[in-house]
Amino acid sequence: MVSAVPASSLRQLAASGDASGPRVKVALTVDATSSDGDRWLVAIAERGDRDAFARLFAWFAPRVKAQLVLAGAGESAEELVQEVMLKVWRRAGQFDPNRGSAATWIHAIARNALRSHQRGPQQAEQPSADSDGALDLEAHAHVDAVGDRGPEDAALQMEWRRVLGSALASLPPEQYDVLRGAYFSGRTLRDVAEERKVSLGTVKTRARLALARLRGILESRWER
Amino acid sequence: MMAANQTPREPIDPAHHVGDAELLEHAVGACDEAVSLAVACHLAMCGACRAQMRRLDAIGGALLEAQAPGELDANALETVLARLDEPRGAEDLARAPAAGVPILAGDGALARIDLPAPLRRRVARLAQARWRYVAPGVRGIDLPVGSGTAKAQLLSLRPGLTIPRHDHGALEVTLVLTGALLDEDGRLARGDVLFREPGQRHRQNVEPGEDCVSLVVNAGSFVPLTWTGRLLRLIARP
Repeated sequence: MVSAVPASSLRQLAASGDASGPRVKVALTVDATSSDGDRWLVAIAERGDRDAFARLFAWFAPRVKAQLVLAGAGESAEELVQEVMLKVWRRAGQFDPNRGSAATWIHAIARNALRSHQRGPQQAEQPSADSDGALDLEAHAHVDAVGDRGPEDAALQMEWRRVLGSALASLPPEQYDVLRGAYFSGRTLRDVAEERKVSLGTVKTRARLALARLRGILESRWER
Repeated sequence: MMAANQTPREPIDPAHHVGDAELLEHAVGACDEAVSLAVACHLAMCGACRAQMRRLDAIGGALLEAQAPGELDANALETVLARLDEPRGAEDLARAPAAGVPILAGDGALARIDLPAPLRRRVARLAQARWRYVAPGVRGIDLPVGSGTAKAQLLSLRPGLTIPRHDHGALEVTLVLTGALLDEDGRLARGDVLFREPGQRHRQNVEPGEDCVSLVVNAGSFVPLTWTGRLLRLIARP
């Protein structure tokens, strides 16, 4: 079991982080937080636990900031981080640890917040049944996926996530970059290609190679 | 532990799947709403793609965890803590899935078709579901799509019908619900999905025996390549 890290040292850790890239950080971060994040969110949902929120914030907010900056949020990144973390507090009751990690959930909230922001205030203000809400439900109908198979035991979930994390870290940088570009910004592969000034075919190939590799590693090391 | 009320899975094993690149765009929320609807329907009927989706979902979190932290304003936490008790916006409250919506208003045109859950929710929003005439042997029901440019419709094709060779102005996605389509890539039956990009011309035959009902998503117009095909131009409305 992973013991909780005091929020103060997490803040230090967060402050000392450099912005150079993913490879160094993976081993350091995944073990220490995958389960903590879930636990913090559950504590927020069940008890409105502000201490848990502060810890969650200390660990996630700087990473959400990095995600938003990389996705092109620019000047708005700071304000968006606060909006995202506020949503995390308010919607914590909707988080289901059986359906995925706190990181996955928070990452998706950040991505959606950025998209709403980029679509402009008018649309962002009306999350009608047809736009954000319904899509969210539909897009996340696939989280039922977890129900099919896969690690139901929490410790096994952690191990599965750890294997995924190190598999990601082992990807060639250009493949990692394509995945990160698509996930952080929530944009199409065509947009990712244009941003990087490479062809759509190249980006699709990188994405497919990356996903095939991840699938291969997960299947051989974990899934049957 | 899985919830006891988990939706039972259909015991079908589609042969034609959503590709990794398309599934990735769906996972990150980049697809047009209509395309996402088709992908969600396939996922509802395909265990293999749900397993891949589970991996794709987890990647987002893993990327965030691996990300070197950015620098926040010194008082960011305090600012947010001070706002925790603000009244919640409507969007944070009204997000429970609508339960018990009537499956179908209107004349029950779809009553005998087993619709996957994402489609059922969508159809439930129609005031009336009535097949409209599209072309000889072809009937359609337009589906509501809130955002994006792609259109979604249900098409019912008569057994034995031939859809002449055609191209598309943009992406076309076909997801079969009943009956079967014989495409140049093989036989498409319930749960099978086909993505066609512009330039991927194809011809389809409806397998004899049963009406073929499919969800068809068009991001652009239908481009018939033969004279008879022009009749079917009507399928993709302007």
